[in-house]
Amino acid sequence: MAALSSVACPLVCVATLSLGLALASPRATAQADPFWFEPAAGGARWRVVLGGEGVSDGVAHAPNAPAGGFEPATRLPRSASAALALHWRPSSEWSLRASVVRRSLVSLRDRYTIDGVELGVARRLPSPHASTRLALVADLRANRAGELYKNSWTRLGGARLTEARLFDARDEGAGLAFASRTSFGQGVGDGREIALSALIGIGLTRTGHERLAGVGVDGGGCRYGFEAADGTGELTLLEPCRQFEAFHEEYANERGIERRLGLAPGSDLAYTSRVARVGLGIVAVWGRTGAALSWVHGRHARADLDPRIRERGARAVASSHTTSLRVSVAASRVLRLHAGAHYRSTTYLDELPLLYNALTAGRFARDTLSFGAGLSLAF
Amino acid sequence: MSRVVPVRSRRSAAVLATPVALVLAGCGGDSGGTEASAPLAARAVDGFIVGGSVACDGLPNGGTTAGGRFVCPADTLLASVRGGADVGFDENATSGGIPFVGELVAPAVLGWVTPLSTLAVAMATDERGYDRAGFAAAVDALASTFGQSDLDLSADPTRGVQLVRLNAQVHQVLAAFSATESEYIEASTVLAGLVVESAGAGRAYNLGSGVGEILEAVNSRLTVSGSALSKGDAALREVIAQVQDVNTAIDGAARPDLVFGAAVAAPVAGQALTIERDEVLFGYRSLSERGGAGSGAVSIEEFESDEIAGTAYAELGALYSYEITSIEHHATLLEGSGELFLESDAFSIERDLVEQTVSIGFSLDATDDEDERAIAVTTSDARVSARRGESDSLAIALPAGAELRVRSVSDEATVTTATIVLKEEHEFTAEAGSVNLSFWRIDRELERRGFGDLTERAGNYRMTVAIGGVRINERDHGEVTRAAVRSVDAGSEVVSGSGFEGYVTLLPGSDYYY
Repeated sequence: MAALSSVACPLVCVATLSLGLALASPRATAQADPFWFEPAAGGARWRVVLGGEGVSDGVAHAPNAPAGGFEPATRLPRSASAALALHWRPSSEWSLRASVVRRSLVSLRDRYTIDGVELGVARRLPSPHASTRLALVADLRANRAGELYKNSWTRLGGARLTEARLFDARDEGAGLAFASRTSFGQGVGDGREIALSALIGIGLTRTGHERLAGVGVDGGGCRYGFEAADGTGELTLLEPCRQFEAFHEEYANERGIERRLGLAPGSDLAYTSRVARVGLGIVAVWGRTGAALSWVHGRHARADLDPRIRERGARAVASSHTTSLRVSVAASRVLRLHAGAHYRSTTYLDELPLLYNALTAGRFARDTLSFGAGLSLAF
Repeated sequence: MSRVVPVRSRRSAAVLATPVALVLAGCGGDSGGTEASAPLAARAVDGFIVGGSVACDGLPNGGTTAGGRFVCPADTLLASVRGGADVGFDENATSGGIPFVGELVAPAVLGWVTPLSTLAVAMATDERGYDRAGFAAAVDALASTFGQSDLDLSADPTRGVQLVRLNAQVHQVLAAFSATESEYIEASTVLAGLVVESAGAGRAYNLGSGVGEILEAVNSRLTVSGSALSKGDAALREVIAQVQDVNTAIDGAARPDLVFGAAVAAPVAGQALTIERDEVLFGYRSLSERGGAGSGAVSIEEFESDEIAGTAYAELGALYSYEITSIEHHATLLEGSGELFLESDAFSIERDLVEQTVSIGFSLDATDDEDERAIAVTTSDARVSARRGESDSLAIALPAGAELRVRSVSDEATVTTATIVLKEEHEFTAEAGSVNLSFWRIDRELERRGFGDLTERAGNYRMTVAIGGVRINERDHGEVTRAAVRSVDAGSEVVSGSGFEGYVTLLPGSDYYY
């Protein structure tokens, strides 16, 4: 998959589906295509893709300072990512892909860095029409952040959460998709092609974390530190305050944690989601140049988490869609350059499920426009 | 000569503890070594003191367990144990025995906290504080004054019968002048001064059959200082006779357990309070809005019984829809209208108490299956005042600045421990013959301060009250015995002492049927 799609492709299914369609291509010049668009060097078994993506605006990042006030502001991109992908086509029937990606999200107070890895395999299926290629695609994907440090303040019940750290935050996902691509117009020989693409897929995503730790201030101004892991937790008064010389609580279960913190880490910060996706696209190839417009819609069902979000009076994000426009040009038989723009109805919900939880759900109900560029090498 | 004032500062103690460790290294005991970072293990022994409140350089640090065991941080200078129960020399006993009314002190690295170490620390302490270098000299002075050729306070005081006897006899002398912990400390100081002077003069005392001599000397010093502990001639003669009998018996005991037996057999005397078991202990008023169970009185015997007295039903909302919420004990409290009165007639005041510092522990532990709720509240800062013979004069005060230690277990099994410093004084005084304990007010106050609502739903509880730091007997059909030892563990503090234990039912809300 091209750098653009590695970084910006919103859906795991889509990403792996692209392998399937590439494999399904009967023509050497169109093989190894991603699902939506990737004219590649003819006959190449290996492709290495490097790319990046970001939003156009930056943010003056100024986290809360430990001693009060704020750290000096630093201008940073609000969102940025870099990815490296390796494609391998061992035969005309099979295609495999592996990619790694690092994403950075920056806000006024917070800065998250998350690493991801994706593995995919595609198997070409028999097609009733010569102009239509079909494929079945399976993929695995995982994201991990050693520590998500939330420096911004959060209101939680009657308390103010001044910092929270989610250690070893992660998500894992698996998907299965069926994809098709039907070509119209001239054949490959004259370097022109118009194709319509479609996909339908399902997936399962699970998020979790190792430990939650943080500091909060209650309504009376007393500071507490807390930790929670494996359904248990503890809270400790950090210094004598008001009538308390000392205060410590140990929670044996999530009910106890929720009663005190108004938050059950196992239920509010971790979840399992079933995902259904459909997508449509159109691809145009003209000699060394190509363009593609795609749209993918996802429907998320989080049986345990979303009702809790709604009980809090917040908005759960149950659907998302991404529209992408990509162009590419072949600089040589080996090198191809890419650029693209991507509109997401939700902010990286599909790429970073680990960031979605009962406290952050509202933040995903915002749209994002991002831009990307990259290159691919075919051998 | 370097002197150390034990302070409530871990940093100060840390600086000072290392030289002490060096001085006393090799003393043995039960300290398990003197590595810099390892906690110091020690044991409190008259007999083994269990359930005693431990303080490490003045900072509360839990309680003593079986065998009198406790630990202090590695940098602790002085360890002290107050109250608890003397269970003799049963290594495994955690309850029973006889109340220990006193405070034992020792250098933490010594490994053993005993009446003799208490005297030695008192001898090495003056207005400038504790002089760690003077401890060894104090031990030598104790040996010469009590006619011992050799005295090693780091030796196991539970094995060598000579050391067992000596500790027991010293405790009898101190206890003869004290009915409270603070009086025990005062008596220790006076006896320590006497030993210092006697050792200097080459004077020795016999703690056995000749103990009268040292009792007279101590009383003389108390009289000169104008202490309230001093006794008149008749009282002194009575005390001398009693202590002489006990200490002579101790002298004749060939084994540690026999020494303890002789101490237990000592006549019960010198108490400050007597619990009158034939009187009503609690009065309660718990009228349901629907006119259900009413007010009444609960005797100690009824209170101590876990017998089921009735069944309560709560309306679920729909007509004729009820749920059995609780099995009542004799003492049943309904929220709102339910009040609990401690009847002052249940106590006889045997001597004047003027703002006597005592430890008080109060706990409720749910007794129903799968009900983990519990709460324990302790304080070592309570003040008891009473006039001899006037039960109505009983007043319990918690002064401003008093520390309450609380441990609770909620319905969700959340364990909360806290130390609360009272901003203002709270006083419980007798009115019309009873002290209103205002249980529901206390319950609401604890909930407001961040503890779970223990009484959110109905429950049956075992209720324990322990009063440490004051000697209490009980009278049942005219027979006087030592009051049973009770313990309340609030996590960072354990209060053990005389008291009572029984069963109550708490019914939140008031829509109950009977």
